[in-house]
Amino acid sequence: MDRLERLLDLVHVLQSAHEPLTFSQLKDRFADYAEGQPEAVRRKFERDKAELARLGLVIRYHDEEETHAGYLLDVAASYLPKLTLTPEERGLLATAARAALAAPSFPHRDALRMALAKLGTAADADGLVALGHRPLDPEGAGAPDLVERLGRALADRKRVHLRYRKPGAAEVTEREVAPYGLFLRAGAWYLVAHDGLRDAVRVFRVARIEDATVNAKRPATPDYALPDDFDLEPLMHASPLHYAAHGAVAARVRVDAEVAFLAARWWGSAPDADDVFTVETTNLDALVAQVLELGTRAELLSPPEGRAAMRRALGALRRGQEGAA
Amino acid sequence: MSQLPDDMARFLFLVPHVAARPAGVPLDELAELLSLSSAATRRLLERVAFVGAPDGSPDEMVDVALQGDRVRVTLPQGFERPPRFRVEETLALLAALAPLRDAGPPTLRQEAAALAARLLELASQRASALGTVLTDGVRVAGEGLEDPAHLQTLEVAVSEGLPVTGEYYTAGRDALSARRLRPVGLLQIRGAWYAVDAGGKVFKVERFRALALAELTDEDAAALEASDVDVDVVRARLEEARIDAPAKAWVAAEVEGPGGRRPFPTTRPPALFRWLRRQGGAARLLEPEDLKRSYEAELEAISARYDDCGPSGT
Repeated sequence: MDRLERLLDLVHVLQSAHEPLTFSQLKDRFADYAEGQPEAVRRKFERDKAELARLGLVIRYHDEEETHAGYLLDVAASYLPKLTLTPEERGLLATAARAALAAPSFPHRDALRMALAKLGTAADADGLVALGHRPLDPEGAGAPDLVERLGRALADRKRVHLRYRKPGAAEVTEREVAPYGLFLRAGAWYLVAHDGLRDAVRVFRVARIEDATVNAKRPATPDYALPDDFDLEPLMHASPLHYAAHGAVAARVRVDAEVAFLAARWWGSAPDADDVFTVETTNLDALVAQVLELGTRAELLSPPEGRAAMRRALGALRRGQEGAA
Repeated sequence: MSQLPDDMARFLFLVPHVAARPAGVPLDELAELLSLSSAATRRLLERVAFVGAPDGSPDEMVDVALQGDRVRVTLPQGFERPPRFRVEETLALLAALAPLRDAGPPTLRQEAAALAARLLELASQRASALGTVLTDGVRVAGEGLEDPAHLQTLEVAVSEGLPVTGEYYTAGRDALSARRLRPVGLLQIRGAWYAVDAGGKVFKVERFRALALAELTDEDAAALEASDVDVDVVRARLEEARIDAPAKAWVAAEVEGPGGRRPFPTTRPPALFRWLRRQGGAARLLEPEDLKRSYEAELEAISARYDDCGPSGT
């Protein structure tokens, strides 16, 4: 018997039975369970139960009364109850789903389509709010199948072997990681994982992952546990100003009053009376990039090494413009 | 990888879905829902045509049939509801809602969080057991540079049809100016929020220095009434970074970078200069000559501030 057919038949039998069915009764009805060594047959049945559990179908063993001990499918735990979504909820879900389905890099789009169909709703635009996740550079987003694979590893808490190329690096590094989270930022997906090589939590841009192999051993058993105090939030909002390039320095930047509100949002602080911001950073190069973003409207006042970094950056721009870069 | 779990999931979905529609479902429509080709859907239907009690009579079988181009299920045999959401479906729903749940305007954020919680109650036992791994494990980061009060103001303006006034920094002109908008929609593109006004203009919310609701005038009401802006069309234009501007507004600039020489038409020279500064010297502006001189003069002016041994003006 085809395994698909056997599993579906098993679901049908266990959900329509009036009382629990013993394994012996199942063997009488399914030829596949009647043939072979008892141990092997039992393992086959357990594999079938596990497969059904993956699909959300719950088979319970009832042993409250000896005369009725056996297996039944828990219909309430397995099937979707009837749900009425309000028009607002439908609109919200449609807006969210429409954007996800339109973004080639969004993971689990097929599953999303089916989930919407189960809810009896469609990804129509609601007219007032729209979202867009399509990256400007599609190659920089990360392949959806890779994001899905990492998402499944995260859900199953399975370790992943990564082949990762750091920005600007010629060599690919091999790492054994435990996925802690995935996030989408500015159209690109990132994996947050404990990196065995560094024994620390690291952020990996999915587009730079050349290959990811999920540990296939004991698929139903998690390889690791998420630390209780793990929080994805600060990592996904981490500013390049706080990447650990050097020790912490307090830089001072004067910004034209007219655009100081933009700088205040970047740096999370207000300027002093002379329109000067004090910015804590461990990555002066990132600060230099932000000051350059403001063009003639900002000046990095200190520290001296920050001004030197500005001179270098401006020198590179001028040489580039002269064609000598 | 085995097709078995996917085919099982499809069967468990399609039987109740089709059975609930006595007239049947067109094969192509069903194929799209199942993310299969029509041919693969036909093969799946053939494989599952005899599901039922293995020792039962024909009337104990699920009756799935393809009649013409329509799929019909006359005997669902207890397959009357689809299964609860699988892990992948739960992940997909939560990830899709994440941009609103994690980085939405205040009201939408609350509604999205409540909806996500409601949907999580419909998850399978296995997906529910994963709990926070799914709710907190896959997220969408907004740029977070918008003033939350401005987002809230715009939310109210859009839902109640009110105008707003504010000070807005136009990056393309490098200028701050007073604005009056009649917002008709909100967009989030790659994590940043934008307001769309009744005339189809788009404003990046983080660039409002100040923003407040204004009294509705007859002129505002007429503009809102006459507006035929499709927010989703604006989204597509913005997502593709497409600028609709009259031909005379364009400057035919040319740049040279690692990919060689290429045209870089722009309507906003300050934005082009900003792009060049981001390239760290790997790109240069070639044409037109007057724009090139402006860019070089700007670089000189910035550099001059750093030529001395201390900050300028000290």
